[in-house]
Amino acid sequence: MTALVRALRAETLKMKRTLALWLTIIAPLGMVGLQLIGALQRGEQYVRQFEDVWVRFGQEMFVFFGFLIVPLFVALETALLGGLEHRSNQWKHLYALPQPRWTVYAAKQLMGMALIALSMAGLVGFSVLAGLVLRMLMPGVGFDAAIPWDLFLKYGVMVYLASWLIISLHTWVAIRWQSFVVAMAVGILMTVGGMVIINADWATFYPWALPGLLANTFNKGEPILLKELIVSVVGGIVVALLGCWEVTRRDVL
Amino acid sequence: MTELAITTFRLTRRFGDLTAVADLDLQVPGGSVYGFLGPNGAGKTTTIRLLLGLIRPNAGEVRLFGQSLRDGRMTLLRRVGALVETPSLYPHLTGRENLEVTRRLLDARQEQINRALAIVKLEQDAHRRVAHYSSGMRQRLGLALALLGEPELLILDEPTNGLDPAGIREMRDLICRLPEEHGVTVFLSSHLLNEVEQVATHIGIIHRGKMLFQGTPDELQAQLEEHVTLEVDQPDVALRLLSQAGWTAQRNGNHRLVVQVNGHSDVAMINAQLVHAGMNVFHLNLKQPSLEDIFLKLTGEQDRQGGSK
Repeated sequence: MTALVRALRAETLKMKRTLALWLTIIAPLGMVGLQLIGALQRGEQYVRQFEDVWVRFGQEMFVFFGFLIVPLFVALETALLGGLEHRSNQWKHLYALPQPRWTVYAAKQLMGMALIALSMAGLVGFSVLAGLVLRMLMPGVGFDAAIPWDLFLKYGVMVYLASWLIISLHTWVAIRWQSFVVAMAVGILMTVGGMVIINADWATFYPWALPGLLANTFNKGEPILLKELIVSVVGGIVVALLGCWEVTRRDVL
Repeated sequence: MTELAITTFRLTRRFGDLTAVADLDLQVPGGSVYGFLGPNGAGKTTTIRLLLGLIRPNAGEVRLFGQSLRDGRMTLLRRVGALVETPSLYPHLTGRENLEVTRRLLDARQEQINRALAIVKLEQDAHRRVAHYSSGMRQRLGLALALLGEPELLILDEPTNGLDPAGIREMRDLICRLPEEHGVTVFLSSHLLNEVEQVATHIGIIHRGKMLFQGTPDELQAQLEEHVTLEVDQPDVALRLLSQAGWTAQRNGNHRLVVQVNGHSDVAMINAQLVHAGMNVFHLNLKQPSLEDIFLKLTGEQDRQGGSK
């Protein structure tokens, strides 16, 4: 266990000055920024027609983020994390150090999960912030109502949990194959596929559709999609263990 | 006799049909600088990866400090530092930060970073990002990474690859200092003979996965006969005379003679015999074969053997 803590501390230092770390802020910020501009362009008349502007605003944000951004972002972040080691031939060095091999993989997996968590926190934070900006710029359209923190936090956590399975899948792909292109191609293909599959009955079992499915229910009083969450969380843990086992027993060439 | 730092027993590793390392028996004495020589593709890097447990052997065993690597990987690797091929460096981090990443993994002390930087003389540039390092500096930082945990055994794969002459000299000086000043056993691979010749106390030669020779440079020299080159005023007469006296002698194409000898006393004896027979000796040169000759002879022999099968 101390070995894992050491691996995580090393992993944290590696993140310094990396694009991967900056992206956790840039992705949600860009996303929220676009929504904000969109709202301003459509004007007060448009916004005014909604019963609960906070919910509507959050929906637009989360649905787009969950369907499109999360799957692509997970692919990109894990590819960057894996590329960090591939590009500088680190495996031979890391595996020749006196540490259990599985800690190298586990640290990567956990760092991937942490980066996605950061970006989800960013989405929640920036969304509320954008709402407050609209409260100032468009007084009287409904943003004066209390901020529905519970709703934003609840869906932030749920969309995050729904991304565990793809984090595990992409961590494995990014470590298993040297090529950044392979990792990104898998992410893009599967995300595009998800847009078609999302309406199928079995979308629950299509990992790249899960964050979108969860985000889609963003509203007050909606039932929680427990089955999807279980598929993602349990599946994520199982795939992480399998991936770790598979990568750890491979030759390091 | 000192403890053996590395021993392998009939170490074998195959990649598909190719046997990269075959029945290799390495014996690296503690405190030595062991030069592991072989042409490109001979199996040097595969051997090193086996020594570090990066790949598993198909047969045979690796022992470090007398202990099996299979049983004690973690404790044994703590006593080993390695630099395999190109150094593993994060270009977006500074030199010191690169060392810090490994320090955290090793749970080493902070002073050990300064010590490693001092050994490779990189203190001045430690705050700069590795992206701006020259290849010589990267190689030195790679060596510092290997030295960080204060290892007893240092395994270096082609440590001077891609360096300019100044960088090669710096690396060589460093390698020579390590056993004396820090009590480190050095195992280094190279495809360049003259490079190993200058630093090694022990030499192993590998070719097509098989060990051709293992021993000291002197023992390697002894593998080839010395010969003396003579220039006399009557070469034909001299040749007949020496052959009758039992020497293995021949004309070397022009007016010089080449005679196989064993040491200086033979040379003096030949000279005395010729002078005694009334001949004028203008030129007398004892030539010791270079490692290059020996290497080409050994690898050439094996190629012929392989070809005749």
